[in-house]
Amino acid sequence: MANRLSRVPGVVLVSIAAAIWGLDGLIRKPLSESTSATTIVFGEHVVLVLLTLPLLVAALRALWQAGPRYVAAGIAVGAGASAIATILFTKALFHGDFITVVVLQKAQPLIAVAGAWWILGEKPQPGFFWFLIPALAGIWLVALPQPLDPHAQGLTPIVETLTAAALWGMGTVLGRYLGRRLAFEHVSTVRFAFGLLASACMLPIVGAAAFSTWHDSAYIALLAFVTGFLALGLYYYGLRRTPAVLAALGELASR
Amino acid sequence: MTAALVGIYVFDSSLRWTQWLGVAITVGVITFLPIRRRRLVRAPAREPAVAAS
Repeated sequence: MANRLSRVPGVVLVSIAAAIWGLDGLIRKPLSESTSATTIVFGEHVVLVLLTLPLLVAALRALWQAGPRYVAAGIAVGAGASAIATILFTKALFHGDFITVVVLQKAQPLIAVAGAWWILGEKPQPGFFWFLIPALAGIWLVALPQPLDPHAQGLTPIVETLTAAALWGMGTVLGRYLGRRLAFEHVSTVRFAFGLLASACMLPIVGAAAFSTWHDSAYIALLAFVTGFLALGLYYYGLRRTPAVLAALGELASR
Repeated sequence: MTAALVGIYVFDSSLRWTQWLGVAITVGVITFLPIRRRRLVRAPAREPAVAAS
């Protein structure tokens, strides 16, 4: 299986993973009517940490050995991209109108491209922009039924969405950075572990319950396994062989 | 793109022609991405993974 996957271009694996985690709205939307966003994110991370528990010690040891910059990147990916960004994005959907959130989220690949240039030294060639611009245009057309009449309303959802987009964009860059020194399964394990700590800290801050009903918990476990464990494992396997600027385009399969 | 399409499905909406055009453009870009990937970006050489050394 791993041998077969190694023959597939990394950007294809990133796109497939992104398409899988884009399906999470099917489960997340019905759940949001009975369980808060923070409880859902915390529950997902509990399941993800349990699934990767056998790898946790080795992953944290590898992260520590890689050096303080990698530890900081691991915390940023786990706490920022995995936990805080998801909570902020979900809250923005509650605070603002759908169009505002969708329009501003389009900043994410641009942040990833700038971050990859600055942190990873990846230099997009002129041909890259012939892919970036049509890809952004295509996503714009899909997301906005009135593409020539976009609008943004309310300071709170604007700040929440732009912060989430920045954290997700930098999550791609720093995930790629971690993949330079860590095995892909260790990157996922580190992300889930720091994501659990961050989402646990968020529970008392927003006054959310730690656990939901058994019915909702079963769906949260399914969400965590399919769009978290399987999709992110595939994503980090592909990302190790894919420049972050191309991964940012491949991730558009999910938006 | 799947998130947008799922959102449209969950909200029980139908796609306008501009949205179908967006689907076609995005699928086209992502399909051609693997073919041209080596010419699109110049990336520094990757370091070996700690776990593999």
